[in-house]
Amino acid sequence: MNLRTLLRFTSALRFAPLAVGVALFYFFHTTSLGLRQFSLGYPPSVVATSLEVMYPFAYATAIALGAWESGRLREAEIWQLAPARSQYRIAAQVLWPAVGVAWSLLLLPVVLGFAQERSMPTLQSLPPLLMGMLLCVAHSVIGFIVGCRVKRIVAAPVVAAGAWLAVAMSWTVEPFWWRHILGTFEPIEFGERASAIAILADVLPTCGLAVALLLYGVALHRSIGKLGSAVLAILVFASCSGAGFQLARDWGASAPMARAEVPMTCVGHDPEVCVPDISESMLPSIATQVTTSLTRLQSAGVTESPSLVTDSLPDGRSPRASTSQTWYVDLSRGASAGRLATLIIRAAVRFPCHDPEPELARTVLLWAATKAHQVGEVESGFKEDPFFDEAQRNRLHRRVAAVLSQPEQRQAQWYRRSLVVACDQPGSPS
Amino acid sequence: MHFSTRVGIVGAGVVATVGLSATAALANWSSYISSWTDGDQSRRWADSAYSQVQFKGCFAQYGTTDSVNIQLNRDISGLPDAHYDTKTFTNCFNGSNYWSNGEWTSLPSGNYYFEATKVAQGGSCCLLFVDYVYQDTTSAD
Repeated sequence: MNLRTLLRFTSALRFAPLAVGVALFYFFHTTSLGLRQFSLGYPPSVVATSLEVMYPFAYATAIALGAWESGRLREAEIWQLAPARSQYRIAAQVLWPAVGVAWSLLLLPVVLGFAQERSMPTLQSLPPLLMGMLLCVAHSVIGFIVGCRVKRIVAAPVVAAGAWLAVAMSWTVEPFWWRHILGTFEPIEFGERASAIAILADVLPTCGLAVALLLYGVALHRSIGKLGSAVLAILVFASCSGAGFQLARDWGASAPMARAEVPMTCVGHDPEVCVPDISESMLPSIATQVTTSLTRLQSAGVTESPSLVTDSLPDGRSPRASTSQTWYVDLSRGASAGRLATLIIRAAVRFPCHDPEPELARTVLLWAATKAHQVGEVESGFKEDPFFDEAQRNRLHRRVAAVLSQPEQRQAQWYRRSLVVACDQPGSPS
Repeated sequence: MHFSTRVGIVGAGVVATVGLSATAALANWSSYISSWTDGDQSRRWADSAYSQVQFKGCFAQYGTTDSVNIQLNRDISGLPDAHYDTKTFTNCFNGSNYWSNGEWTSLPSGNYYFEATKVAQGGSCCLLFVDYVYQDTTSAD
C-alpha cells in the first residue's frame, strides 16, 4: 500500500485534529503554568512536566486506534485476501499512523514546553518521552490484537476508557507500586533525571502484555499450536509484569530519581561558595552574605568554618546532609525569598541532634542572629509560627538580652554549652 | 533564563491565578478548621521537596475515636490528583495545648492540599474542629 492510499485508508488522520486539540487544551490549561512555576527551564523538568497529564490520553489514543484499525482490516477481510503477505508487515503498515497520532500527544506539549521556557532538550531529559513513545507502540499493539477478536465499535471505546482510567487513576490509589508500573512519570526536580530502574518498571508490564498478545494472537498459533502459544504468552506476560512489580513494590509515592550533572559556578576560598549556573547572577550577593555572616558568627564564638558552601538546589527533592566542611544550603531559593541569612545561621548553629529542645534552640538562634546582624529576618520566621505566641516571643527576647549582657567570652561559653544542653532534653512531641 | 528572573515569573503566575479554583500561595500559612467531615479539603499551596502540616487543639463532634487521617494531595488540573502518604493525627485530641505533626518528604514541585479522609471513626459520622492549623513549606524551621 503506498503512502497516499494508506493515509486515505487510515482513520488515525481523522482523529488527529481531536488529538491535537486535547494536547493544546491541556498544555495551555494545565501544563503551561506548572512549567512557569516550577521547571526553572531545566530540560528534564520541562519534559516530565509537559508529559505528566498527556500519558493517559496518548495511551488511550494508541490503544483505541489500534483496535479500530485492526477491526477495519478484519471487516475488510484483508487477512484472507493476502495470505502470502507477512501479517506483521500488514499490522505495522496500518498501525504507524495510529502510533504517530498518539506520539503527537506527547511530542506537541514537549515542543511547546521548551519553546515557552526558552530551553533546549538534552539527552538526559529524553527518557520519559522515549518511554511514552515506546508504550504508545505497545498500547497500539494491544489494541490491535483486541480488535482482531472484538467488534471495533465495542473494542475501541472500551480499551480507550480502560487504558485512560488505569493510567490516570493510578496516582490516586494505594499501594503505591500501581503508579510506578503503568507508564507515567511525575514532575522531575532541578538536578534530577529519570532513573533507568524507574523507566524499566514502567515499561515492563505493558510491553510484556503487548509481546504476549502478539505471540498469541498473530503468529505462533500457526507453528506451535494454540496451547503452546498461549502458555508462552502467559509466561512472557507473567515474567514481565512480575519483574515490574518486584522493582516497584517497595517504592513510596515517588519512584527513585537519578542525580544529574548540573554545571556549577563557584567563587571565593574558605569558604568557596557555589550555585548552579542558572543562579550565577545572584552569586556575588550570595557569596558576600555568606562570608559576612560567617565572619560575624565566628568572631562571636560560633566556630564552624566550612571550606565549601554549596547550593542544595541541584539536590532535587533529596537534599544532602551538611558536614562540618561542606554545607548544603538552599542558597538560590533562600536569597530569592529573603531568607538567606536565616539559612546560613541555621547551618552554622549545628546542634548535635536532630530535634533540640525548641525553647533553648530558639534562644541560641536568635542570639546568633543578633551576632550576625540579622535579627529581623529570623524574628519574622518566628512570627509565622502560630504555636509561638507573643508572650513566648517576649520571654525569648528577655532570655537573649540576658545572654547578650554578659561579656563576649561568657556568651561564647554559653553558646557551646547550650548546643549540648538543648540535645540533652527531649525534643518536640509528634 | 536566570533563577532570579524565574522567581519573578513565579510570583506573577501566582497573582494571575487568584480567583481560580486551584489558587496557590508560596509561603507558610495558618488557619483553623470548623465542621470538617470526610473528604473536606484545605486551601492550595505551592510546595516542593518537603511539607509539614500541624494541628493544635482538635475535637471531633459525635466521634468515639480521637483521631483524624490527613492525606496530602498534589493538584493536577483536569486529571485525578496525585495522592501521597496519609498521616493519622491523635495527639492534638488530648487538649487545646496539644499538637500533632505530619511531615512529607521527597515531594515533587506542585500545588498541594490536604484532605481529611477519616474524621474519628469515619463514614462522615463526625465533625472536626481544630483551633490552629499551620502549614510549613520548609524543613529549615
